[in-house]
Amino acid sequence: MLNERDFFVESIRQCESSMYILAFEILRNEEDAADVIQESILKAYCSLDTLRSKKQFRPWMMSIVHNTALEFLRKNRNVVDLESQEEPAAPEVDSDTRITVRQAVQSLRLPYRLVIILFYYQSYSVQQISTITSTPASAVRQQLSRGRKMLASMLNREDFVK
Amino acid sequence: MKHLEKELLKSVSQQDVQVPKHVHDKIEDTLASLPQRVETPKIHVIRKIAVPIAACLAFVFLALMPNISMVYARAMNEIPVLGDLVRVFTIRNYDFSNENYELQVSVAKVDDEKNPKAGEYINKNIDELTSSIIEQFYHEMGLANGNGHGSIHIDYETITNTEQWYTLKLMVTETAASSNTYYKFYHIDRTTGKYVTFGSLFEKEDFPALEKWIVEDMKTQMEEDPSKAYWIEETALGRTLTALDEDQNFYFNEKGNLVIVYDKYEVSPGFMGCPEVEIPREVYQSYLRYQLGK
Repeated sequence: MLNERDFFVESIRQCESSMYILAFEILRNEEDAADVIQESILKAYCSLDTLRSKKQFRPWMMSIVHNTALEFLRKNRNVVDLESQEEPAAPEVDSDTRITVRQAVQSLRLPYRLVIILFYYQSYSVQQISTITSTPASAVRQQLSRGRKMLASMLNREDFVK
Repeated sequence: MKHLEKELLKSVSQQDVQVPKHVHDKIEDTLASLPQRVETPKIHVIRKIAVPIAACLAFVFLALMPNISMVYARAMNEIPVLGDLVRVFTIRNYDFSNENYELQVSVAKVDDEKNPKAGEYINKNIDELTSSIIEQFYHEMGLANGNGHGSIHIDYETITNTEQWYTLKLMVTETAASSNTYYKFYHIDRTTGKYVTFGSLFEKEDFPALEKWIVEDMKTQMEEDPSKAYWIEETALGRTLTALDEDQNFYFNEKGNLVIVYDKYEVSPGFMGCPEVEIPREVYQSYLRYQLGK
């Protein structure tokens, strides 16, 4: 039977990729993402007693990473400018649709990029995203809907629109 | 939108995202440095190992993260307080910044395991207050339509955290043409488990006696320091500006004295900031509705 430390270490390893994606999508910088993950691991280890169920480890940990990344942005005065995201170049008619959609997702601003990635790329449910980002589920649904509309508009594909 | 959703799912590729080796190595280093947690009944183990774990982690912090300073100071405050005390942490951040406007909001969440209802009441209150401020900010920004400027900063700190009493201070600073600062204090009497306001502690009929003491203290302050100024004579809507009400901001300081806190511009000119008046225990104690700490 695993002791608490072993459980924690194993659980962290299992969600290493998810933590990195989340931190990187917020910070857009590998080194900052690494620092934030380190800090989050230590914070989480210190507050392991607050984890109510081992099954909730992943969303609990992701919530810590999310809050720590935003705190890092704030303290380091990174500007989260909702207006400055560049529009992607108009997509050419391209058989490699997968790359075009991915690029479009990457060009979305926060929080839309984050919820799209968590929902579609990380397969979290709306409720889990709500826990991770400390945002009401209704707001998450709205952000997903707006994110999809922005993507449809960017991709300028009539067949993407209802 | 279904076609878009299908395309999104098609574009998913776990292989596109690899954790860089140096990031993976840092994570492994951090995991390797974690001390063992002693698994015995909570109360005993927390008290016994508090110092060794804190010392061990302090060593880890310094060894592995030389570049993190202020972030860590705050992070340590957010680590659960050991023992039977209240935890508070940032549950949500709002950040927005452009050429003319700035918004930085840290939303606190209070976690009092001993008194969950009081904690929940405070959290609901904080949520409502910050939501309405943020909504107003975006509304005004929209109305200004690219013109105008302004900023909102909301932060918090714990003033008192003992087994008998908890006080959280919320600080709001709004800047447009000039700046305005105001506070909101939240209290839990942990001996009764109740959320406490000024009106919970003192009868309304006793407010004038406390106000009189406050005005006398302000007069003394102005006599001793002519640079100070309080509007002790002015009235608004038939009441003096120094008049207390049931939601008066206050806290107890380390001496056990009652500190009355006024918002900027409430009782004095802006240069006085948010003035505080300290009422000694021997003055206010006889007016308390009930004896605290029992």
